Amino acid sequence: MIEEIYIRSYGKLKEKKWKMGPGLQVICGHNEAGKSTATSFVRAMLYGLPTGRSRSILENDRKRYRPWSGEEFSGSLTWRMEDGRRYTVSRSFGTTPQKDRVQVVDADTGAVQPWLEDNMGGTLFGVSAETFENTAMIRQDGGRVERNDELVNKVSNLVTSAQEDVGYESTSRALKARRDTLRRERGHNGILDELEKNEQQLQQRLGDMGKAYDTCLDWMEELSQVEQQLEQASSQLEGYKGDIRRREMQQQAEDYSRIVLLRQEINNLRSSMELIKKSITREGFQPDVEYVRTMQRDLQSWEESQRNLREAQEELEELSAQAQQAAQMEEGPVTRIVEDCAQARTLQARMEAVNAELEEKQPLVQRRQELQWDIKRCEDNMPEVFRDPHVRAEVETLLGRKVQKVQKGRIALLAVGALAALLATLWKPWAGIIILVALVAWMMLADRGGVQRTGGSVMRKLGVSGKQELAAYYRDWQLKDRQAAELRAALAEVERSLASNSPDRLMTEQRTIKEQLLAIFRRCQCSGWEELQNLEGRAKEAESQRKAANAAMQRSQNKVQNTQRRVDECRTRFLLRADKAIGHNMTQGGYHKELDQLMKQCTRLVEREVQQREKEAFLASLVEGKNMEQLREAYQQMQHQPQQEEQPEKQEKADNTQAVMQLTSRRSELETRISHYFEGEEAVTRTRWQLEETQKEMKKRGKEYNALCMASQVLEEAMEEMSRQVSPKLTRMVGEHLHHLTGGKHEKLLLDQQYHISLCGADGVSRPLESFSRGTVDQVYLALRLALVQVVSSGEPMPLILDDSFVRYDDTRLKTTLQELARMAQQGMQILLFTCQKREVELLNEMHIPYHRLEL
Amino acid sequence: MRFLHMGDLHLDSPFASIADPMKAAQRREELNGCVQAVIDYAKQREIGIVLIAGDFFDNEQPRIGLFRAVMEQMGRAGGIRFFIAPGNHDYYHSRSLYALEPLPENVTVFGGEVEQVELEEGVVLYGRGFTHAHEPQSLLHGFQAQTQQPSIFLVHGELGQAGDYGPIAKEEIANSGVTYLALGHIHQYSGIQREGATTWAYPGIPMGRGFDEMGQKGFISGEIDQHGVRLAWVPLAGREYREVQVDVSDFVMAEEIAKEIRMMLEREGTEHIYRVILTGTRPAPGVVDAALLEKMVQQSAFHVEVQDATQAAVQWDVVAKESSLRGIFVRRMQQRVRAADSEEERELCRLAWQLGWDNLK
Repeated sequence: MIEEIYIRSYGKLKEKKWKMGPGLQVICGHNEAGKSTATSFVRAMLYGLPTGRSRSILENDRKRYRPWSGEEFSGSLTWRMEDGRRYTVSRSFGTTPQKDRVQVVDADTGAVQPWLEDNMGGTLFGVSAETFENTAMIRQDGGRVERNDELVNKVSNLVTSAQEDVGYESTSRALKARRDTLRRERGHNGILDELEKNEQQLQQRLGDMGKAYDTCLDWMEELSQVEQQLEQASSQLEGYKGDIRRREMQQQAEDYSRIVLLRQEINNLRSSMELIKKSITREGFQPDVEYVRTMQRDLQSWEESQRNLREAQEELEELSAQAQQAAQMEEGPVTRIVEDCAQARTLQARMEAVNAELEEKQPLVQRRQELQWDIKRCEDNMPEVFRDPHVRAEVETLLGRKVQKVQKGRIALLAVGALAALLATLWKPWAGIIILVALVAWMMLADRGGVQRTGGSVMRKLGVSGKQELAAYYRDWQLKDRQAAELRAALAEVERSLASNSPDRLMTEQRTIKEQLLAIFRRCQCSGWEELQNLEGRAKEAESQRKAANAAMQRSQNKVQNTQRRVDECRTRFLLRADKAIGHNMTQGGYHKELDQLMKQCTRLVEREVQQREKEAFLASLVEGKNMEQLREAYQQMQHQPQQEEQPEKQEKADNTQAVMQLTSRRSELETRISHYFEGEEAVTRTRWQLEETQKEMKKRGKEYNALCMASQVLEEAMEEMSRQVSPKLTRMVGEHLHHLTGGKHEKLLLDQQYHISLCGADGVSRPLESFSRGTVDQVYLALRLALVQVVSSGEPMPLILDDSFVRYDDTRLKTTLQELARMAQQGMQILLFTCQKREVELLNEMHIPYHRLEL
Repeated sequence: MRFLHMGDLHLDSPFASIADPMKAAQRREELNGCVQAVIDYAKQREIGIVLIAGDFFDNEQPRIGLFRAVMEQMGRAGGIRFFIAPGNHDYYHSRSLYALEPLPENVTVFGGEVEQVELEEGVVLYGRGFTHAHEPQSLLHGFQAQTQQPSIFLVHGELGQAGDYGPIAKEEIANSGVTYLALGHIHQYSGIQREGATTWAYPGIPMGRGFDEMGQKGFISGEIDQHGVRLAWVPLAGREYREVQVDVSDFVMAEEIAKEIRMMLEREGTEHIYRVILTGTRPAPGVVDAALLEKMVQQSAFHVEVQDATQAAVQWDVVAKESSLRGIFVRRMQQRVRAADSEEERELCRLAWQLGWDNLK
């Protein structure tokens, strides 16, 4: 419990000292007095301030509350532990955490407590600064969101994770999404799948390169042997030459012989090539290796597309069967159920509106009855005799209340009488006197007699004996009459209000709606609204299944058509080429055989062409700078040497010359091949680099994938533990708070297997949270925040700090909320309520809730 | 007699540590240029013997063109004699280029048996090469020099009692009787060591090829005579693999971090290859994106790799006590890290922890 706060300097607050006790502490201050500064101070004393990294002054308390003068800002806070020990933390803050100073001492003994200095809040409560801020502190409009679904989402997060910005489902989804980018279970390949494929291809390529390397080594070995043999043959050839001329001639003859031989070989090659060309040419078209390779690829594409077509057709058959099954659910009944349900929903809504209206009219009806009753009671208590206006006039006269009026009448009559008497006197004096006497006598007798008669009958009726009593009765009557008139006016007002939509009409409509609803339930063979909704759900599901099956079948049909088109395209493309090169009307196996044969021939032709080019090059090198005529002569002369001497030597020499020519040719061929190999050798290193790069990336990505799997698994385990150990306690406490906050209207918060939240009322009926009004969800949110303060911490109980949290509440809600806070305070929780509103204090006083008031 | 001792050149290494293929190719050329640098060094100081203790090439099928070019280069340095004892990467066999290709007269490659060559000033050189990628037995096994003259044994192998790469026990070194045992296989310079009467050393790789071969590299220059052997390690100029740390705790924007890295690389020298390790606590979310930063600072040195080793500014022990999903998650991750059997598994757990935490924030 916070026992004392001393702010030496923090933001705008200077030299403030508050002593606090258990229970509700109300800290009052007008707007901008520094309430948020004080809440920040409490957090800063317990946890320190973070670095000044954030540039925004609003997001950074260190920058926000540092005095402009640059001086240190500091203060202290004394905390009383549950076991009675008291610690005082004193902090002063500089521009960076490194410049901060902190000291915690035992408030009773003054002994320094280094174990608390590092992180006092964390050590006391067992929660991080962030969690303290998000649970123990409820700021002005803190966490308020305008949209209901966002608030429901926050509530869902609070229930599943005990934090409003963290949700199990969203976190789990995010991890899975990231995993899917690395390795997908089906559909498109993930990065890892692509890397593995790439690695296989590179390994394969390196393997091929290794084989090519071996082949090159073979050529090099052979070249080495050829060069040795050539050296031997050449030196042997040298031995046969007698003198320089003879050697020259012999050389020339050998050259000639080589040239002839080469020409012969070239001719042979040409003939062979012609034969091959003839065998592969068809109607003037001669395919080459590339053409045949293209045809082989086209044929493979054709076969592959046929396979795909068969698979697509099989899939279509399967989907057709499923669609037929789904089609068994007729469309008519589904539509009817959906329509009935829509009608029922409209009726249900109207019924709720009528009920609400009736409920709204109820006070007016009651008022009307009260007024009618009051009027009746008023009228019943009024003596009937006064209802007659003549009687009232007489009574008033009797009571002298109409004297002036009567006097005026009398004067008028006297004036008329006097005028008549004057006129009569002028005519006959005695007639005038008689008229005057008669007039006066009549007036006096009539007046007195009428009044005495009426007054007597009224007094008799009322049973009063004197004028004073009659006057009392009459005053009472007048008072009640005025009251009755006021009541009637009020009644007329109420009647006017009710006239616009009379309760009777509404009740009739209510009955009609009930009957219509029952008719729908009977038609749909269900017992009530919930069952009808279930029926509608099932009908819609069946409908969507039917539509999905049809859509899948449609897709499959499109796929079959596309694949069929692809088959036709591949077939046409292949046959167009095949028609030119090998003919048509064959099976695919036949085409394969023909193409293999054709490929062999084409390859052979290419080899011959290479050989021809090499031999022609060699021939050109032999012929270059030589006189053919001279060579031919030398050859002929050598031919005509004496047979006996020359024959054996010549024969050996010719053989030797032949061998040298062959070896030279082979050497040239090998050198060309090796040289070609060298040209592409750099690619080996590049491929090895690519392979190592790919393997490095695979290792990195593989590790990330495994880590994501592990994170998901641990998260799932954590959620399981949360559901088992924390959520039940949390939902139970939320239920308690809800019960008090809603006056027993809502009792429980329920969480199902899919983490959907529903509210259970006192009647035991539960409804999803989404279906409640914004006000109710707000109350659930508050209940959760109140419960979290008690559940999340694992050490000392955290104080609840409310910073003008209820400014938007109406009086009724504020009352229930304050009562709930009072209940929590009674249970021992320390609550710091910062407010700028008088009404909290007034309501607390009105409800006689004990609190400790402090001024900012 | 003066000599140079080098090893583990691994010519034609692919340099997969460099992601840019053009720069990797440039590094390969620079590595191949090491041979000429050593030749030039020997010529300048009139040193006639160069000993290469194995793994001259990076694999047993080196590019034939490269092999010929290197041999031609060595052949041109006629006044210098080169001795090569093949290692596990370029082991000698009947189909290896060492066996098939004609070698210059001044180049000797040792085969599978111990061979002996008489050098100037009566120095005897022994040598033996790997004939397989794996040699479970020491190539020095049972050898004892049969001479009173100063002697050198050139061989490739790891130091130890057992292993796949010709493990050489210290007793074998002591019993060899040679003055100097010129070794190759370990890529870090071992320092000048002595076992019995024999001095031995690994010169290390002459040029780093990855971040596991950081810092300055080189070879050994030595002189041997009746009085013994005197050795000095010579650094070879060139690019180095370097690792630098940048504390990003006080930065808010990625550009600020990039600027700090650029300034640091400018100070350290832009010709080198860097691994920049970001340390400290994480600033605002999204600021530390190692891949993005790597792109931003790539032009600041020959090659830059950025690794994120920042820690979330969280007091884990406190969070682990919380009765919330996050608290339980952290508690369970802590348990997993503690229970991990190997550093690799621990690292995996830490990564899982970080990924989970980032998503729980």
